[in-house]
Amino acid sequence: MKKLLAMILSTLMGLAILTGCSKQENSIQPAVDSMAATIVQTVEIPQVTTIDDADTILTMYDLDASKIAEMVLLKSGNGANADEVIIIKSNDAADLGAIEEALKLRITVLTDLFADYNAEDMPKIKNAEIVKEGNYIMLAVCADPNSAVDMFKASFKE
Amino acid sequence: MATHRVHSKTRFVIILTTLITALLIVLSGLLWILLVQNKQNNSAELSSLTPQQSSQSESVSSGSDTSKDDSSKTDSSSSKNKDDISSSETNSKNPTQSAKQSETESTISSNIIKNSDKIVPKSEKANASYLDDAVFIGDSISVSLSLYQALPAKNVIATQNVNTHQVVDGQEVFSTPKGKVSLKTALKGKNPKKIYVMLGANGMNSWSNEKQIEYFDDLLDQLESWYPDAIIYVESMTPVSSEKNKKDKNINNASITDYNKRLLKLVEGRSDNIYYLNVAEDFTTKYGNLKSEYNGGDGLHFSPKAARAVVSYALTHTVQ
Repeated sequence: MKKLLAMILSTLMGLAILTGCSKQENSIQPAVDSMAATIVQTVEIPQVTTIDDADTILTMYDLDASKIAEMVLLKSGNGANADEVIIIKSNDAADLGAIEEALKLRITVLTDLFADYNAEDMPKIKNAEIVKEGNYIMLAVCADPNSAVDMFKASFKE
Repeated sequence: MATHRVHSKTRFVIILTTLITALLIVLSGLLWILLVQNKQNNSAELSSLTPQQSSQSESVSSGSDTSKDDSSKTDSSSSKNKDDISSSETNSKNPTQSAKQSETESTISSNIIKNSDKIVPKSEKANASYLDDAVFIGDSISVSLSLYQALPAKNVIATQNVNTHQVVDGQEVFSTPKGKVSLKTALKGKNPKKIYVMLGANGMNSWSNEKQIEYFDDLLDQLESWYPDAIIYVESMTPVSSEKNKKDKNINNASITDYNKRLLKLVEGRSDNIYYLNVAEDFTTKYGNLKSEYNGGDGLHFSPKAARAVVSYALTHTVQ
């Protein structure tokens, strides 16, 4: 009887610990528009415009909208510059692989668009960064992608 | 006494001859001044009708195709006469005179445009839903219409670096998430009732305006055959900023003014379903340059306000 009680207790404790850990990992779920608002204050994006309209974003990114909880795009709106930073929160972290592939495809599209058009912006595309955290992912195409990555990561720290 | 009379007569003839000679010199001088003035006027008029080669040539800015095909560029841009070039040089030395000339050009341009019944006049502002069944076809300038969210993305078919020749040639130049497609493919499923087209800037690096208008004519043929019931709005090209105007040897306001005049002439010769939407009139300062609030940074592309202004202009200039 004591053995059974000990087993139940230890199982419960184990579950509690696991739940605790799990809760700790997912406890910070920043809103993507807040993350974008922080990034846009520091990272230079010429003629930046904030796009949260799914239709507009989906004309540029080959994304499965059903897998996305939130997304926001910071984009040079003038049509002349390649700069863009997209932050996506997926419904499930398991979907990030497919989303990452779509972001990589976008880098290819940008390369194709700007190689013969605005060569000055090509380093931004070549140095593009993709970063993940939990069920979040970000692509940064800009002059200083590392700052964007730092701010993205900082959003998950208390 | 007789000798005195002869001397007196001779003196009279000499004085008369001198006076006539002096009069002839004065008249010749006046005639010469009139001729010079007339020549200057002709030169100014000519420079407002042909693309002007800037004395300060600089490579094309970020907003345009840098791959220039000189061999295909026809004579109209290379055959600048001496008067044009000297006029340009004078302008670079005297900005005030240059500004005055730009203003004159702008006035000439607007006078011609106002005389055409193919220009869509100002109308009562239509509801935004007027554009629900419209598409805006263009290059990087029109890309901003959706990026700044002045229009829903589904109503904009535009991509960087596109020129009229590529479009009419059926080339796959319009970007989608999965790759580039031709205009015909991009239009599939849209069945537009209104088609707005603003193209020309990228072609200025490769073709004469005359050639570009030929391509535009072919594009209108295509659009009409695909959508015979649609209203086609041919948008005038918007001007560039004063800075870009000075630096860019291809995409400058003289060239754009010339292009727009040719565009209007093309529309005047087309069917009733095709109209000229003079968007540029709202974008132009009295000196013929792009208004600063519409400058998207490089003097050619749009600011957010400019993108909204295009849509506003489209809604206040509708064919009834």
